Amino acid sequence: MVATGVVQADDFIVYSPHVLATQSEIELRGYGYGDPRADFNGGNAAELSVSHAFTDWWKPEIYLTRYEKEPGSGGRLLGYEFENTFQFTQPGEYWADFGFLASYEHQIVAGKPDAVEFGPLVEKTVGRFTHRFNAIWEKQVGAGAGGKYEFRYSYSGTYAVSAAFRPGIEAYARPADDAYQAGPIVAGEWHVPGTTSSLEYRFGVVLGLNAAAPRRTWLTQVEYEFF
Amino acid sequence: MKHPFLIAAPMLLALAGTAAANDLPEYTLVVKDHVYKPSEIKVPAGTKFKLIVRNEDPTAEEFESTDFNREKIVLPNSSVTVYVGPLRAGSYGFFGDFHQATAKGRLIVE
Ligand SMILES: [Cu+2]
Repeated sequence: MVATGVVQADDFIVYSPHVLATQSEIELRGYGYGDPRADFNGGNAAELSVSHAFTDWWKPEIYLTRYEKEPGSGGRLLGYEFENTFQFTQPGEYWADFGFLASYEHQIVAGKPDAVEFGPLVEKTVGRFTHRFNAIWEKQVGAGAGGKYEFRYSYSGTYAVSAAFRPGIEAYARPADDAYQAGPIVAGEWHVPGTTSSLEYRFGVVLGLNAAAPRRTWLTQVEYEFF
Repeated sequence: MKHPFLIAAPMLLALAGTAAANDLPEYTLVVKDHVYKPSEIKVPAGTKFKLIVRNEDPTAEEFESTDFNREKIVLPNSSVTVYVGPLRAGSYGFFGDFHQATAKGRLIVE
């Protein structure tokens, strides 16, 4: 099945290197393809995760549920993931802010090997603009693992009209799949009055820039943050 | 892209090139009774600086600004350093995310 490589290769998020000490998060994130071609039609995925920043430089996150429906087949649960964000520099301290992502994916699907993922996270803020860049290498590990590194990179640029309304663009590139996508997104944060918690959202659609990429990919993310 | 760590070299260079972060001008902001003191700070335009935010309340506060894009938790009775700028001349608001009604302030950049 041609689409298999495409479906598992991206999680459609551009990570920030920033870690907010003592913050906890519950996050639901998903995407779905809008493309009638057989390789993509009906494909979608969703993940539920929890995280807690134990220090101002380390945020581990556990993906409790990872669901995926490949085009032309039924939905299934994939397994668990343990993801770590490391913040190396303070926001604004240097020309850009640097961090690192390192995660381990444990698959429960027969014949699907576990995987590690890692790479640098970069963010640069200029006034109300925020630019983010991620470069991520993925490598299968354990029984049946392929020996190759699969590389992908992504960019997001947003402008804060207000805390609750940050429109922008996101772009995703997966050279191994020959898939390039970009499109508009909107994100924001709404503070729950009188509490130390807030709700964050991010919605968007990235369009295929070449024929090998899905024509449209709808992105959704909602997050509850508390201290 | 077989060499993941190629990307680390420019990162380190960028760090080395701006290692003088300790010499930056410093301004202090105190949170007390969920109010920022002072509520206005004058800072020079086009210069990076440090904002020391000290929380003297028994509850946590989140120092936040949409105008200059910062967000940082200040635990009770402790302080944090927030790097800001360089900014263009103008007025930039900040607030305490956990006590938005009272914790408000501005940077006057000139
Ligand atoms: Cu906030």
